[in-house]
Amino acid sequence: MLRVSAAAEAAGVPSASLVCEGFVGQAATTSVGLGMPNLPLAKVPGHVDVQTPDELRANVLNVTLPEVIRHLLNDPAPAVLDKDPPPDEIVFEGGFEEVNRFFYENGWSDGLPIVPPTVEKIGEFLRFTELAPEHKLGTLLPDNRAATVWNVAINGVMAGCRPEYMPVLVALAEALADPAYGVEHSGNTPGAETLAIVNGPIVRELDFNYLQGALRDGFQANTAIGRFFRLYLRNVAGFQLHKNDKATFGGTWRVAMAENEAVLRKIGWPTVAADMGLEAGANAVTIARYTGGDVIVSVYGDSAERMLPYLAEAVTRMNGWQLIFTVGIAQGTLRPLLVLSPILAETIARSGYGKADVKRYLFEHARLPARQFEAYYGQYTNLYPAKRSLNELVRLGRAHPVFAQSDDPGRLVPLVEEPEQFMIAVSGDPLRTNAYTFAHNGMLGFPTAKKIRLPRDWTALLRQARAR
Amino acid sequence: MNDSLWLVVPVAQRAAGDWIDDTLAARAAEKGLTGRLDLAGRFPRRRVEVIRSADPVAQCNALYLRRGWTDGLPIVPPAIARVDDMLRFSARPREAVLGEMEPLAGLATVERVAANAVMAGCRPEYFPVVLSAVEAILAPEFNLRGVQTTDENVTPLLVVCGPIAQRLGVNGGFGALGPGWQANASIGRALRLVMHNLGGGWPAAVSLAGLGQPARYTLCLAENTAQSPWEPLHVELGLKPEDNAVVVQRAESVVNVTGGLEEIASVMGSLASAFSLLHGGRPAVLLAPYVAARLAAAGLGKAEVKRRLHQLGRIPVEQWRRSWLARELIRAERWPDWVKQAAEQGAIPAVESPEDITLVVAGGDLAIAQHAYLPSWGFPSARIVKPIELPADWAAMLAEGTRP
Amino acid sequence: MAGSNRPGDYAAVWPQGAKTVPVQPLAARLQSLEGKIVAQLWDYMFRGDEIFPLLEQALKERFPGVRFVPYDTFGSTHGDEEREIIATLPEKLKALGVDAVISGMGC
Repeated sequence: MLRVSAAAEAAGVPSASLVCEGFVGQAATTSVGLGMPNLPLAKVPGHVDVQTPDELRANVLNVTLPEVIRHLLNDPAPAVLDKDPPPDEIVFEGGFEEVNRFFYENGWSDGLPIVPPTVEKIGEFLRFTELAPEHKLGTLLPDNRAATVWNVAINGVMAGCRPEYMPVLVALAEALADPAYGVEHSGNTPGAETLAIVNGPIVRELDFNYLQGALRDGFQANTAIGRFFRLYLRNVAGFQLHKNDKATFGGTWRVAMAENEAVLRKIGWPTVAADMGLEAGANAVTIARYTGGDVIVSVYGDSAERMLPYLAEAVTRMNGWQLIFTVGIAQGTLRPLLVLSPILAETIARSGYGKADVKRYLFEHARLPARQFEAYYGQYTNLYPAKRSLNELVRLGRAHPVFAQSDDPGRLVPLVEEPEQFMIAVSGDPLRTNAYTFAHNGMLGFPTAKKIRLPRDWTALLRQARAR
Repeated sequence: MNDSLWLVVPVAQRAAGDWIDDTLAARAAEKGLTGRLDLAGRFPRRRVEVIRSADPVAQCNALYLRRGWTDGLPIVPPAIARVDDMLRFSARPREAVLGEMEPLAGLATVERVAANAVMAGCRPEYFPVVLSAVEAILAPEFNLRGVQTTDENVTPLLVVCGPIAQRLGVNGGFGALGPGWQANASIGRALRLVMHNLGGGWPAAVSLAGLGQPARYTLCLAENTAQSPWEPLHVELGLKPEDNAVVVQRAESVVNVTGGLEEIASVMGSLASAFSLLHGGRPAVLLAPYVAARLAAAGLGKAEVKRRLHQLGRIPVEQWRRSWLARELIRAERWPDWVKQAAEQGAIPAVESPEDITLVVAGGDLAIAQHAYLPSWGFPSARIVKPIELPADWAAMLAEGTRP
Repeated sequence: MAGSNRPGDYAAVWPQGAKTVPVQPLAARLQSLEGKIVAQLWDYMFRGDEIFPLLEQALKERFPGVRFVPYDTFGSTHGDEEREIIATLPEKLKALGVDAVISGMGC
């Protein structure tokens, strides 16, 4: 919304942006990132969702209106941007606990001990990339800070990564900087947490866990890299709780997940990276944000046909308000993720199902009545006002035709527009008949994949590192 | 051997994240103040600063003085532990923003208000009063921007009302406007430091007050309810006796008056009240208990006392017409209608209506009665009442005791 | 800040990154809204459909001759069309003769 206001200002048209009271701080930060720190905001007191029409009217006329007028007619205060220190500035010298205290009190730590980022330790990480330290991987909203190889290394050190994880960290930063991902949404109120999926030979080389407990902490690669991601969001994207990270609840960062590529090869299924368009067998990382998930336990059956109904039902149940990302907020951006344990994938594959077949099954069977779909966006929530039905939205060209195949409000409609919008991964305890269904945050954390670039002497460096 | 002080930086950022000290340093340079303020704008731009020195308290004071962060007197360094102690007396999260502080729109966060309260020498249990006072001056009708930038010497008057005044030892008796009582001294001072460090009202740089006044160090007292024959101020203003509140209004100066109502009226009916006429303000009268008792014994209540002051305290119209304000500064048509109408009658009261006078019984019980008249300045008319929000376990926390 | 120079101390480096976007000037403000055209831009959330009409009516009372371009003209400013709306906004505002914009809702 503020991006639009900024665009108007840049086009020479003065603006006033309407913001709820609790959003003012976040709006100001976003404005800084847009290069317009003094973008005028007109406040609506409280939060609109809980006000009666009379209360809303009084608030708008008494508070918002005068501010709107002021912003359009009076010059705003001139903008002054804060100066940054040089990137190699030593911000503090002291013992381990003192450094930790200093970093925590200044908002650079997640509350757990960090490894003090010294020039020496940063240097160890820099050896694992051919890119120069000052190389800019991109800029991250909302703070619009430069994502550099240097600050990737710093946050990697802090997170407790090993230097040889650096190529993965660089790829993660690049993914974050890709506008398609939508990093600027990472402080939104639903509070989703990113999952990074790692593919390629690097999974084995760096000892990622992809077996039992694939989503749990305990293996340094998965765990420290997951932590790095959140520290990077904090320190370089600029999200801090009680400021512009507005997660109602949030969650802890997810450990990075690695796929079981041996199984995928065995059953002839592509990796997530290949699904995302990278070449087969590439080292890659794919990130997307998920608002929640649940384990699907004890999937019973000796064939795909026997297992898939349960899986489809569980995926359907995991998607409620998130359907707004298929129809409503952003058409067709929902990418539900289903993680199958190897034994489930193998059993399904043995029935002659490829990934595409599983996706097609989900598309056809993971369905809910149209009236229920409409209730999520237009009745339980007010996420898509104007109370339009799915059929009306299809007529207006705002929804895919698959949602208007009859007038029957009880007709079953899919969760997504087409089968390819489902994502499937293989990981977890190879012999446990459990799966995991993730609820996706749509365009607010859209699946983005990046190749992991290795230095020329990767093998030698890695051997050296492992010999330590 | 070096000791460390871990300090919460007590100055403000705007909503966009930039620091008001950058503007202040530029203004200070423009006004040629960098001899005294040679470290203006030079401080680590983060939440917490660490000072290491053989004498970190002295070092902190020296740095803060040169950065322009003090009122010239020594401050208590806002160590994290002290700020945390202060914050325990507020239920609000430390990042909560009370408002943007004029004139530089620095964000008054609960934490930075706490840091300034520590600097001022407040005990942690004073913090709820400080917070309410800050909210009061953030009310639009206080006109903080005017108070901070005008050439007049106006400052907030802070009256602490309710049982909390006695509980915290806010003085309303002998020496109520003078030194000696930690609450009066530090709560008022905290408010001024907040105005200075979060709003940016630096004297001579942003605040162009010609002289300022001693009350710009602190102006805070309680009513002498024990010796007042009438209902307390906050009850007069509609609260219940057991409520706690601050009453805040603008005070152009503090004029001492010895004697009785006639003497007070004669000061009110002079050019000392010129700005009440122009702006329609709310002046305050601090009435000595001795005179209050005699008036009450004669059957007068507060309303009648105010009516008398309003009747007796009138500026002769010729004096007003000849005054510098009327001749040099303010064209005839800009004076309010009530002033022009009264001028036609020959004498102009200090305020439009007796209700505009804030009457507070205060001071020691002396037959040589010492009163004070605090003329108002600035518009709009303001007498701001803010309830004091106490944490649920307030009583228990007080009983526990706090670090002095 | 003075270093400590004690053995075993860590010299910790700043973990953030330089801000990269220079400050851009805002558009010139108007003298008045009388007779001006105000565009409404809405992200279709948070009761803008109630708030925009309130503002519109109040502004019409205060500034004679002010006119409004409704938000439907542009479409939702939050969602998959956002980038397109931003890209085409300058020419659209110009074509419609828009003098000012009210944009919402940030909640």
